[in-house]
Amino acid sequence: MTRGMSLSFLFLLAAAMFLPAQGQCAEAHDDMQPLIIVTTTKTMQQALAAVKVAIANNNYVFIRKQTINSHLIDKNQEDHKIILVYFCNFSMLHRALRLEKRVGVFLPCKITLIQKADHVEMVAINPKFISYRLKEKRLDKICKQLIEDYMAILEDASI
Amino acid sequence: MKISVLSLAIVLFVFSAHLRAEESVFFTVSKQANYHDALNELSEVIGFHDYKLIKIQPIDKGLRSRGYRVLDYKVLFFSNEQQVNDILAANPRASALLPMRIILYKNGNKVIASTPNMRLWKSTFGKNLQPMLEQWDKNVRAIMTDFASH
Repeated sequence: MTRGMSLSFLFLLAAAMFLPAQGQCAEAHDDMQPLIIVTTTKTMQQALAAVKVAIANNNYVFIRKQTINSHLIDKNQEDHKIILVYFCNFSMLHRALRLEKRVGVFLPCKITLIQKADHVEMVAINPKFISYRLKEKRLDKICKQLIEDYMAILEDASI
Repeated sequence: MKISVLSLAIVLFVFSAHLRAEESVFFTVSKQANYHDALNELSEVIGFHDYKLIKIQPIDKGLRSRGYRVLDYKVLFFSNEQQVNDILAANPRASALLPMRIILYKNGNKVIASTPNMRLWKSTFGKNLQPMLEQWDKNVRAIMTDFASH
């Protein structure tokens, strides 16, 4: 092998090692954004009720709701313009924890409802943003299901 | 031959730099302790750092009540009024990151505490939130470090 061929081989090797990672980054379009945000023209109370129904309709269990400053200030002074809704699918939770115990930091699932002037924003952390960085292939299937469920819940609640 | 070695070194450097560029998703510490003692210690340490413990979510209890066999596993949620006020003034969407949380679980004779790496979100909410996220990151790491060395 000539020196020129050796160099070419090494640079091709470099490209082969580097490009797959770049390719993954190139996939980082909308579905890789850190947050999923869906808006609805419903009032906060209507949106909250719709989220609870959508959670149940998508085989999740509603766990609790709280304001953003719950337990931090007097109950009658809490800010009801931001409400956190927690929910869970225990079967999925159990499967996820068997694969990677630390994913529990992003569980139970949560949707944050933010009251704006004429609409409500429903915000969730994108499971795909997390799973991409975990590089844990065995979690991919669960994360794919999770993001589909998040989208279904958010879209159902927004209608 | 020298050129080939140099090229290989460049390749490895580029590749390792690329790997280093990825932020870890979690910040994790561990120590040998009884789980319930560790849970009490972590709750106390959170308070020492001017945060209020909002809730201890018993994930283990929820799973066991549905027939799953799991070791001790809880999520501690915490925040403070200043943190909430700051985030509401800066970007309410970032409230999706609150309250802060640390999971505590048993693994053999060790207790593991893990929290989301706040640095992961630095580019998400614009430059004006970056100092705040860095401060949160420092605060939660201080809590974790104190807990581990308690």
